[in-house]
Amino acid sequence: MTFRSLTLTTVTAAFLALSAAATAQAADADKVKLGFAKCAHCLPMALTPELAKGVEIEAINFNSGNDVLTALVSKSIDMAQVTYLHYITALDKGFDVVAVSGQVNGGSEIVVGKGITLKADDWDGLKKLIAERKEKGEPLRVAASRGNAQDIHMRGALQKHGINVNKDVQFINIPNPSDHAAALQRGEVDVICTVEPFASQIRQTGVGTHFALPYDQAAGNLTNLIVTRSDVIKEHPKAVEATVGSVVALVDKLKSDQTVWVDVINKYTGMDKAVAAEALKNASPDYAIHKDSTLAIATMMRELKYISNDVTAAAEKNLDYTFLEAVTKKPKSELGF
Amino acid sequence: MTALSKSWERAVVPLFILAAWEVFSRSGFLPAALLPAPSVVLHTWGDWMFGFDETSQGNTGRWFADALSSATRVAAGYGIAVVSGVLLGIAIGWWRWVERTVEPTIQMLRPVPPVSWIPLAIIWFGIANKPAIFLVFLGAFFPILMNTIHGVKTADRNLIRAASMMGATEQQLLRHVVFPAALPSIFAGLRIGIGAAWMLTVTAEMVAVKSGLGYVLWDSYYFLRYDLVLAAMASIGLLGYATDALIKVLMSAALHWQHGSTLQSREG
Repeated sequence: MTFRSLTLTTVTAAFLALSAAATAQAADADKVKLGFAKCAHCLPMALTPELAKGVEIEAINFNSGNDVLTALVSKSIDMAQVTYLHYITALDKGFDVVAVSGQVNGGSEIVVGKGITLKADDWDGLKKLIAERKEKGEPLRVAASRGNAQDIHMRGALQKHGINVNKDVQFINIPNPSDHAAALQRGEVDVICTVEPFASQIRQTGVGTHFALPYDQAAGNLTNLIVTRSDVIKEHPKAVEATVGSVVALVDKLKSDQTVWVDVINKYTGMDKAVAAEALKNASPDYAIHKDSTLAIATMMRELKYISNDVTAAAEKNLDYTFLEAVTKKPKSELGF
Repeated sequence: MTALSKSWERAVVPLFILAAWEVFSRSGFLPAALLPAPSVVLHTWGDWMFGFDETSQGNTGRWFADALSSATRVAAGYGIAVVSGVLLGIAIGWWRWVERTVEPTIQMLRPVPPVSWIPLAIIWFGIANKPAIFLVFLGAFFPILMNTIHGVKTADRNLIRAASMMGATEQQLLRHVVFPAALPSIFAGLRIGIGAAWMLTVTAEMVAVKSGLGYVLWDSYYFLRYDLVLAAMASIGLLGYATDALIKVLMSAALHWQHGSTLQSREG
């Protein structure tokens, strides 16, 4: 065999091996790989393995919700904690995702920089400031991480108060929420809608002050969702139910005892416990899946051109309350349907 | 071997990969949106460039502006890296006292991944272009510096002695003997550096810029637009290849004295 043909053979073999690896299935009968992201609300998912009954959960921490969702749709993991926005985006792209439980909502906060003297919830004051800046030709700079739950919460809240993010202010996309504090500190943005625990950190370090919790809009305070694929449900329904059971147990635990939550944030992020405890004041553990707000998010995302299709029908169809009903013994009318 | 058959040889592997990818994507093993076929990526890429059917949504028709934004950042960061890397490299290679005082710090900073500088880059330079240029600079600086140091240190001692004996000053030695002798290594550093600079555009454009190939790549990933992600990757690869080819042309012109005496000259 010549060196040239050996090289070609090696390239072919490597490609085939990669293809085979990509299609490998992750699910085992009694094992579930559960992915979760790195935010204050997401991290307690690390506690699900110890709360699991009848299933062995491997909780895997990812850097972002996008990474978790990509791992789910490419079948590297079986279940995932993502946001409602990820769920809608995935449906828009035709991915097979099924929502089986809520997890934690809230976590969004609008903060203003030091130079902005606005009282909390003074929306009229904000509108006046926006108009003044617009008149001067120096539009108010409003930041968020485009495509995150906080982005949608903020846009919805501003719109509800008659502020058009695309026309009245200058929107600045800061993709990584951990960069929000620095941007605010340097005065490069005036207002930020950020996520916990960064919001608490911003307030506690004096970089910015609280303006509003942006939940007074159609999407409400929806943040996190547990999703899986229909093939996992079909092949391992008991494992999915048991995993939902551990999420429900987790939610109940978080409602009654926040010390474990603070500890897990501290463990995974190294963040000060005081900041973690503050962050949890803006968190609502909730295993319900809120149908109406989910559909409102789908509509808002289409209006914002974040997605290209009307996925409201698919979004409703792919909400599967079966497991929540079995675990909680409640009808779906009490679980957000 | 004719030019046509050489071109064909170069195209074999890419064509094979594209064909296999097209077949695999259309086979249904994975959802089509997760691994879009090359034809789909090409279509999206075309719309991103020429804006014919808005497949790439808000990015339609914006490719040239995005490519220009990234190229500007790369040019700025790379330019600073070339000037500082070559000058500092010559200084470290030539003067022992510079080597003693500066090199330990440089060697300590060199293994630090550029991405880990993001928080400091934001604190120092704020958001938008400046931190992005800084990160590109970091990516390109160390390969250029290390290769320049190597080039200076391996300059032929006999040439330096001969020039000294003929009365050359230190400045003349550096300019007419050491620098030309180090040029092959410097160009090797420049080629590695330009690749690193393009690699860093993706990281650099995570930091609150509003345009650029890396920006589109990240933004598309947030909305699961893997076709755009792949088009952005291909764009960066293509521009990286083009700029590397440009440096090769410059290298060939600058190192004309090597023609006929190296393996490279044999390759034509």
